Amino acid sequence: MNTASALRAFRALLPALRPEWRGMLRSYLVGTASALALAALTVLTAWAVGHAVVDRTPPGAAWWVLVGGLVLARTVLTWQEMDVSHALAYRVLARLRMALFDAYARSVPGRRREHSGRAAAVAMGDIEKLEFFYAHTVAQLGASITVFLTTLITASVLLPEAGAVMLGGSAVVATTALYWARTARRLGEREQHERSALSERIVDALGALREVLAYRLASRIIAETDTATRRATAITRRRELLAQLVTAVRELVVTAVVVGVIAVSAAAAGVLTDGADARLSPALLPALVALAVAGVAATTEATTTLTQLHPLIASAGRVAAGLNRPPVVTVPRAPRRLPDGPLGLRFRDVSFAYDSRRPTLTAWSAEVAPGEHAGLAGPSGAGKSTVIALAARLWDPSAGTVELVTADGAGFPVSELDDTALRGAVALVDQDATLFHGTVRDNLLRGGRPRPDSDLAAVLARVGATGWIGLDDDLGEDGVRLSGGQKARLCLARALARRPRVLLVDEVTASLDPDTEQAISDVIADFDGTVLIASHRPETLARCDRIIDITAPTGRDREPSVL
Amino acid sequence: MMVVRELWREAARFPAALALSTALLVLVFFTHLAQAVAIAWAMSAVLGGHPHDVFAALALIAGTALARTLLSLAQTSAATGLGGRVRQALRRRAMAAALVPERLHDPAARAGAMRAGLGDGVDGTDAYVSKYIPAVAQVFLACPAVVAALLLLSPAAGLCAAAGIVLALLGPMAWKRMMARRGLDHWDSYEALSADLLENLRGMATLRALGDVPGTRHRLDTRSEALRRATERVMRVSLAETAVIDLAVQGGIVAAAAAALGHALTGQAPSVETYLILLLASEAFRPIRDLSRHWHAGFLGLTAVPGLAQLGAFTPERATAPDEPAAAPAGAAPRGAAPSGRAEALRVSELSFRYPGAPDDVLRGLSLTARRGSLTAIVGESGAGKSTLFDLLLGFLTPSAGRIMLDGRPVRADDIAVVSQRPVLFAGTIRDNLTLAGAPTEAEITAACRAAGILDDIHSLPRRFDTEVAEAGTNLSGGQRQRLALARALLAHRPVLLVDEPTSALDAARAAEVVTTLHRVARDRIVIMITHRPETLAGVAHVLRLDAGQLQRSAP
Repeated sequence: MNTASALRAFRALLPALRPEWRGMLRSYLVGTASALALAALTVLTAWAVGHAVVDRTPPGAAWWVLVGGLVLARTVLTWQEMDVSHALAYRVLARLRMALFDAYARSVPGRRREHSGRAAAVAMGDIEKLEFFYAHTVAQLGASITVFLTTLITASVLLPEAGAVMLGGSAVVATTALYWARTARRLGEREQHERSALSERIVDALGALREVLAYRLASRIIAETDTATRRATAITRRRELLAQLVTAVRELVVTAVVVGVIAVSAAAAGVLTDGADARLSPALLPALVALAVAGVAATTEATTTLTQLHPLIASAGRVAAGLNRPPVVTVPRAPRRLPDGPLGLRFRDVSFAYDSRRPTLTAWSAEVAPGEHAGLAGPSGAGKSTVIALAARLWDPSAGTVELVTADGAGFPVSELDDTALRGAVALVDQDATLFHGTVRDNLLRGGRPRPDSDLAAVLARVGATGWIGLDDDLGEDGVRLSGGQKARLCLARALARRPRVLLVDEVTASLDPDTEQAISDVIADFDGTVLIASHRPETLARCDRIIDITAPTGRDREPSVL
Repeated sequence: MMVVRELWREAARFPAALALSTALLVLVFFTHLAQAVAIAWAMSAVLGGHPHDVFAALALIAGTALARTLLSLAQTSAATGLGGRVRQALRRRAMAAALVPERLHDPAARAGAMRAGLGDGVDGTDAYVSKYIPAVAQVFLACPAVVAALLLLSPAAGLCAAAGIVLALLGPMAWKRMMARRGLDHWDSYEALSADLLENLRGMATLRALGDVPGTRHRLDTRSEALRRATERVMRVSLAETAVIDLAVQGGIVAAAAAALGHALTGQAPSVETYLILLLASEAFRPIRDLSRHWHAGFLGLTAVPGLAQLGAFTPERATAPDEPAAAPAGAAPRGAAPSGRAEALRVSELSFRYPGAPDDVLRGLSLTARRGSLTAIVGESGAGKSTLFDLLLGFLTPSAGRIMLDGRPVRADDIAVVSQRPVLFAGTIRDNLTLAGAPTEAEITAACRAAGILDDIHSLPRRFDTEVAEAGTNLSGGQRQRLALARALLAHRPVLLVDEPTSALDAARAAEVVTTLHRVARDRIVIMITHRPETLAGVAHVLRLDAGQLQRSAP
């Protein structure tokens, strides 16, 4: 990654600052005032000491008042500056978090499934890291430049050579921002990569706890995380050493400026050459040195800030990429509403391929009439789940359309529908459905309209979820204490509680015992609406009005009895 | 100054690294002192008109600056080494505490929160350990030395500097309690958001299908705002501390400068001493400024400490790792157990179990015998206790009564291979996942995959055995996951194989293949299968029906 693309990564993050321009301005003003107060404090002190040593005169009352006031002002301003800039950064970060959620909501599940642990690490870790960028960059660079210019002008007025030394020193300091920048960026990237790989490993180990324990893999996993931590430390060490080296170079330059200012002052005071004119009072020497140090320190601070951005470039790039993930469905420009009444489904020449795989569906067509209960049959991997996901509009097909069809045959492509209307009409129960942590009631109501407890209790009773669970029971993450059958019943209850017109079911009866399967099949058979159910179980398919064979040439259906 | 006892204790476990990074830090500080002396010398030489002294002093300044460069690099290396070792130790212990059977049935354990603690939480301690702790040591070693020097030059200046240092160190103590409380608030909301985000990203397909994206967005936004407010609160308190330190530093320097003024005016001394007082007064606060800077960099990380303590990161390691006894090198264990690779009978007698806090037993006085040679099937309603029985056999749960014996000896966990109802695969290649419990040959892997009916699927994948499996195997179908897990279990070569719903996600033809495989496998080992598919029960001699925690009947 070169400097230009690094700048691009950061530029992508700047729009988030636009609503905060007032805060930025305030941050700049307070920061500049605070830095100038500090510079004035050191210069005034040095000036008074210089005069006391050379002229043997104490500073006047005004000096005391000024210095005392500056000490207090500096304290308040320091606190204010940090407070304003951090509060601003945290507001920006909160906004970024939600922007990332929106990006994921548009783009997940991706056609190429990715690691959710990594996604979470991006969302949380990278954004937290950008705190530095938002809190300590733009306004602070402005404040540093202002302080530098002020001290430079003052020093030049006192002794032009000293001003020249300062300018030269600052120029050299500024170039250090580019030293080893590429290496620093690469190390930052590798460090972040190690961190997310480690995070992935931890998520996997925790998710696969039963297998980990059964195969006694705990010590191997611990040893692997240990190695990973050691590797990350080695990278951190190299990055810190590099940063320290650049800092040391900068300190050397600052020292050189001090040496230079003393040397030119000595020359100007006529010390180094006999008989030269004394253009500078030695009383001003301490003040001049303090001024030079304050000015170069401002440049150093600005440069350090820029250097600290290098390791953040990887994070900035990933956050920017996350914000710009390609959406998996398009948002209709003029969303259509759905008419009332029963709805059917129609697939017209639908094609779909997962990334880098052979097409799963090619110009596939099928139709389910309003109110019909249709089964979808075919061997594993033939695309049954894909058809269901397309009907639920988790993805858009690469070609062809998926439509909801009214009783009079009018088609409404799902890609043109208002999302709320679509989700209100179509419910999905699939093999990987998630139950979220929270109560049963929370889960039943998610995404639906509020319903009285009596309705919800009736739905639970309908799916046979009585006795072992109540509306107020907490499920824990993904229902840890529930068996597969219990989870399936709750997922079905959640779908029914929404009173959908089309019910899509994907393989839910697969891992159930015969009694549960029977009960669930009964509930689905009694469902008053359109059903499309993907299954490889003859018993489940047998209860459908009609069976669509996904492998058959388009349009040719099978009768249930054929199976 | 804030002392986090747990982290000091951890740092003290590596005394050499701690001493080295502190000693180098103090040496770096002494180069600053030497430079201050040289500058004072140079300035008084200019004043006194001694050109040779001016050049000598300037050379000294340059020399100390070079020495400092080298010392600071060595210090950085030592400090990162210390931080890394502590992080390693913390993560090792927290992982060991997390990978235990108790977590299987703990509804409060959330993967996202654990990940935040084990990942970011542990890394967050680094700034405190590698930077702040040596900086504290530096304050106690270096500040007294400078104050002593100042006292010799000018008692008044020395006292002013000492007062400023004490104020800067003790002032923030007043905030400590508030810091601790707000820090805990902050970590709670960070954890809550982390857990929520992970859960919602995982369930995004469900969320979209439910049309609950706007609702979830609203909930997350509320959480995110809560986190922002909490972070702001922690930050405000922490910054007030920075302001107090700044006040003490500036006040101390100005007061010492005033003393230097008095020194100069009373005219007792040559000017070099006056300059020296001015410069040393400033240097006396350098360790304090370092401390404040490192505190600012590290304070957010410290908010994770209570969470880490809960994860067990500070609890000393057990004498042996959780799975040490049987599996020294985990890979070799199954082979090491080869003599017991074959067993005749698994006998369960009078087994009872109840989840803590549950009103009823899940299993009550259950007895059964499974033999090598033929498949044993257990059927029963959802929730009848079949999975609990498996967890008891595996030793993940401890029965409240009863015994489980393999050929007359208590069963050990490494006697049993398992295929779960929802098998979980690791991120890594398919080969990595198959070779988890050993180092089988290529031929063995192929044979096991063929036996599990997954070989053709693997060969149709773009990179075959080297295809990457995404988290929890979500890029494979349910059936493929199950057959891979079966192949993995076959490769473990253990005398007992527990199979939970092996055919649940398979079509009829594949299910029949897998059942045939299981019948074949049952000739060499004891195979117990949970199932309720009538077709999988065809040909199974030994079918046990589990109902409400008891074995109702044993039908042929």
